[in-house]
Amino acid sequence: MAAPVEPKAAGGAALDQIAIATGGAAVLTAALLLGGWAHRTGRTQVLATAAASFERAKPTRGLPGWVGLPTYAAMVSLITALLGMYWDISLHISQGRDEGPLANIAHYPILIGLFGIFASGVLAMVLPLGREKPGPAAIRITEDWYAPVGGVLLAGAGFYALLGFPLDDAWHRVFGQDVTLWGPTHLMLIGGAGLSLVALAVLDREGRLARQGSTGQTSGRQYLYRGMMMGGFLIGLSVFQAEWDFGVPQFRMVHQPYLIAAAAACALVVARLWVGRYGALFAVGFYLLVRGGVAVVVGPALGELFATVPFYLGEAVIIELLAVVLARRVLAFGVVAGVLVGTVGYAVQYAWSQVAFPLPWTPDMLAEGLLSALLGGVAGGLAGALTVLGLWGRLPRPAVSRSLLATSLVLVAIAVGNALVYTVPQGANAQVTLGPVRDGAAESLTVRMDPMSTVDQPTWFTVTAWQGGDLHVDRLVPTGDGSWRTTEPVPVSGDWKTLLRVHEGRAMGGVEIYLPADPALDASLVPADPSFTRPVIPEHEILQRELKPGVPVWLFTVGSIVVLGLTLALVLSLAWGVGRTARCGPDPVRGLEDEDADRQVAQA
Amino acid sequence: MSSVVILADHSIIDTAPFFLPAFLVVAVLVAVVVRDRRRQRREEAEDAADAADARDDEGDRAA
Repeated sequence: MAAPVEPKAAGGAALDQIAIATGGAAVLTAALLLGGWAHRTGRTQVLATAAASFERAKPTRGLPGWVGLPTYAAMVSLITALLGMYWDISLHISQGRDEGPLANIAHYPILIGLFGIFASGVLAMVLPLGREKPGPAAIRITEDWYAPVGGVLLAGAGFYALLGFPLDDAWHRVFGQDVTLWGPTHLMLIGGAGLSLVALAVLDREGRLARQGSTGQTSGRQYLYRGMMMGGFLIGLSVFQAEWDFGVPQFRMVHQPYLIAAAAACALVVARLWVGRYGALFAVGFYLLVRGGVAVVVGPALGELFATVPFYLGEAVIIELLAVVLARRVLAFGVVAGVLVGTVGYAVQYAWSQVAFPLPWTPDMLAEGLLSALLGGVAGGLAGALTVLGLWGRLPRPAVSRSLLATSLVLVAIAVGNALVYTVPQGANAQVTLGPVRDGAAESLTVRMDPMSTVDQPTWFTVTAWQGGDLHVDRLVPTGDGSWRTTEPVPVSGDWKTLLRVHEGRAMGGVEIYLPADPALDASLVPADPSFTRPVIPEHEILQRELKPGVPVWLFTVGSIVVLGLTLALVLSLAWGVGRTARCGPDPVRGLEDEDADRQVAQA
Repeated sequence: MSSVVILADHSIIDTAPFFLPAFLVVAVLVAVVVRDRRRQRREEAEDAADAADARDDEGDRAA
């Protein structure tokens, strides 16, 4: 590699950072390996003492230390990773790509958080000592070392997420940097963290099985502890929506309804049944606290962008009400909850999107969005019901469970597959006229589409400017004579990347308004002339200029299949783990019956 | 342009600290499990051989 031409590329500072990060990595590796070895050979009592203190601490009191300590460590790690993730996305939206994994400060909390999840799993595997197995489902490591299934799954989920880093790097090398959350390897980074909550729930069950029900944990503490876990699960399943939270989705709008419905139905069905009465409301409360807190920290506190949240309270109320009549028939409850979340919940989210989201839902996507939400809701509700039955040790026989899980996955695949199909308006042009330019921003923009039918009833029709230090999403308003205009000044100078975005039905496209020269990419300046006519082109050519041209399609397909295979492996491992622990008999303290739930809520 | 390092690129070494620790720990765990399973198989084979010997001895005595 020769000397860089750009001072910002990779200079001495990067070497310092590499040294620090490598040093930190070495210490972490040594700590995990030596600590685990010393603990298992009786050379240190530090881990045992720490774990024992968690047996006495609220709210995990009574659960074995190999449940309490790793669960706390994982929860802290998850929140750290979540904060880093939203901070990172916000930085990318307002600043653009970064010059390497260490050049962006927000990558550190992500790294620490994901490694923390992995380390928590390893801790849960290493902690249980002696020939006594950590629960009847434990996995044999050696003759005198058994690891809880939940620990193995937690480490696996963390490992899958961390695997995203080298794969992401390889991906950028082959395809160029994809400045979108929905790059396959980016989805690994966030998906592994989100799904690790299932591993924590399995670990909780194993702890109870190991204590054969005599945990001494009051039902109020159990309520609090499980409620937080399910709030975390809702956050984890919601991270895939982040592009919509900020208002810069690079995929069709009909993705958002099924993402919201699947997350709500799955997490809240588990929350209502596994936590107890009002568990779904509790989980949404925890969600709002943590996810809202992260939005406030990243937005007003760190001065970055604010990420909106969906209105999950609607779904929570639906599920709480449904449980009054159907809680005892779990599978039916899951499916009906999914249908209601996909219809009534969809209507509530539709209204909420009008006031809260930068890009509100529109009549254009109303019908397809409903189908999308229904698919997502039923898939999520079914998966949630299976999870609850597994955690209760009451799964139907394997053939039934497997076909239901497969049904859920197929429904998700249909929703995703349909929403991914899009077209680019052919032969469409935009005639753009700029108002007076002051301080690098045009006071207004007037746009006329040719043909005008391109924006008959658009899902979105915006002027979007990003990566110039901030984000502008300006929805155009019709002027009455067939033209559209902006509502606020449009930045057309400096580092800003400004474009017109059109989305109607399956059609999506963009029109270049202003793009800076980018020598690193061999891209030249696209000036914002006082008036111009430019064609509608595929958006990723503007939004993701970093993508390398001429990479064969099959290579992209192979890359995507590898990532998809890894993801299926993680999902099926989690399902296997839930099944393995489920077959060890009913939950000894499946005690949260509705009769005494009110008291537990009061205690919590 | 071959003497130019493009901006949207970086060395593979940069990402090493992000995944090597986890990979090393997993490698050690896998090694421990593999060694255990090998020993388990060997012991089972030895037990089977011992049992076979014992049966042979009994057979000899009976004869």
